[in-house]
Amino acid sequence: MQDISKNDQELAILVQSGKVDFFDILFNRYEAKIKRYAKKFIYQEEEINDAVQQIFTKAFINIKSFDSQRKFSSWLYRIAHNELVNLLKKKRHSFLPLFNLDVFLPRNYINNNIEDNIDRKNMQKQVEQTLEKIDAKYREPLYLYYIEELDYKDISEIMKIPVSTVGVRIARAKKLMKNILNSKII
Amino acid sequence: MENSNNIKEDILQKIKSGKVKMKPKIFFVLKTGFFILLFLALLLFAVYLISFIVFMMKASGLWFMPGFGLNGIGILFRSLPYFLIILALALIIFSEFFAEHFAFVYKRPMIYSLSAIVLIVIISAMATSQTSMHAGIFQRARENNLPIIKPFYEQASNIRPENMHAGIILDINELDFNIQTLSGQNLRVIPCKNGKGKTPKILSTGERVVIIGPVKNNTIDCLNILKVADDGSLTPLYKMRRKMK
Repeated sequence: MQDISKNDQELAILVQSGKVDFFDILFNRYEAKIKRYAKKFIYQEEEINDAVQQIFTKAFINIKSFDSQRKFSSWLYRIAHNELVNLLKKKRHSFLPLFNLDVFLPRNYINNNIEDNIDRKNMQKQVEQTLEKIDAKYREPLYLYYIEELDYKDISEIMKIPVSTVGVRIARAKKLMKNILNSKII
Repeated sequence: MENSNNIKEDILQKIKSGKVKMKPKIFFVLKTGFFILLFLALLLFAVYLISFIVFMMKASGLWFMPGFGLNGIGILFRSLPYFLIILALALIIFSEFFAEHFAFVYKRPMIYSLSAIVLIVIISAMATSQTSMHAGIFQRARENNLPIIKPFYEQASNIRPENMHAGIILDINELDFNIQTLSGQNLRVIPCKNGKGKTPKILSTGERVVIIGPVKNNTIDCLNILKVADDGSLTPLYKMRRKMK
């Protein structure tokens, strides 16, 4: 019954048409990723599981808002982002503030895909080591870019920030990461 | 693994039992439509408010204050309708907030969309202020035809900065002249000292003037006077009363 050869978008269309069993495959594909993403912002196992459950429940409820011309992963991460932001707001943690100056002005950034892809593979371990010490504002794009291997455009859609701001935040996060690693060596 | 299965089973069970249901497509279409409508409504209200501020400033004479130099600019800044200006700014910020709902807006730096909104609102407001819309509503409010809007529009005739008077010349004598303000108050004007105590010859009855000078016993001791363009959209009270008779 469950055709795992279908891509995410095709599965989402099937769920939208009422074949809800296919949601099972989408859950299996993304459960670990979403859980890993949530772990970067909340730390208690129980809270993480609740958040994951909430994210997938909301994904099902809102699946008819998914546009099959776009990537399902970006859409799902967007739901996860909103859920985690709301959760942290409730806990009164300082997460992404309401307004950031870096989304206001145009910024120059370099997005060299070939270099970045090599860089990405090399950087993953360092990112994993330092991620928790980096401010959430920079942590999220850094995580989505290096660990989840999403591109700037996808991250821009997930975080609802300009593409140039994604580039700037990743560049700043890399600087912070280097500082952390250097201080460890010293 | 056990946890993961529990979460999955729990969600699937809720879906199958109908406890969790998909929202219909129409819900999202209506939601987007609502955002667009709200955005347009906020934009229109901002246009209306800014054009009203411009109308109010022109009607009260404040608009012409920079013509008096630094003294006039000082009066202008002390008398601006700040509450309405802050309200208009808040409307623009809310419009931007709703515009950020759309991908083509949030994917670009905010300064672009905000500048576009500000530009659209200001150009539309200036265009609206050139029409007789506000003057028409103001007129009807003064004739008591618009009970709800009346207090709002009355603000235009209630702006009375210290030492600034705007009105229409009722009659001219050699040593003084009389004006009627927007609120219907008649004031005698003693010509400015720099005019050697005589009424300037360029003035004539029915013209709109803005005067700076202290007032005592309904008499203005003119320090400076400015003749301002009158598009005739604001009928003075004395003419209104004549019409009504």
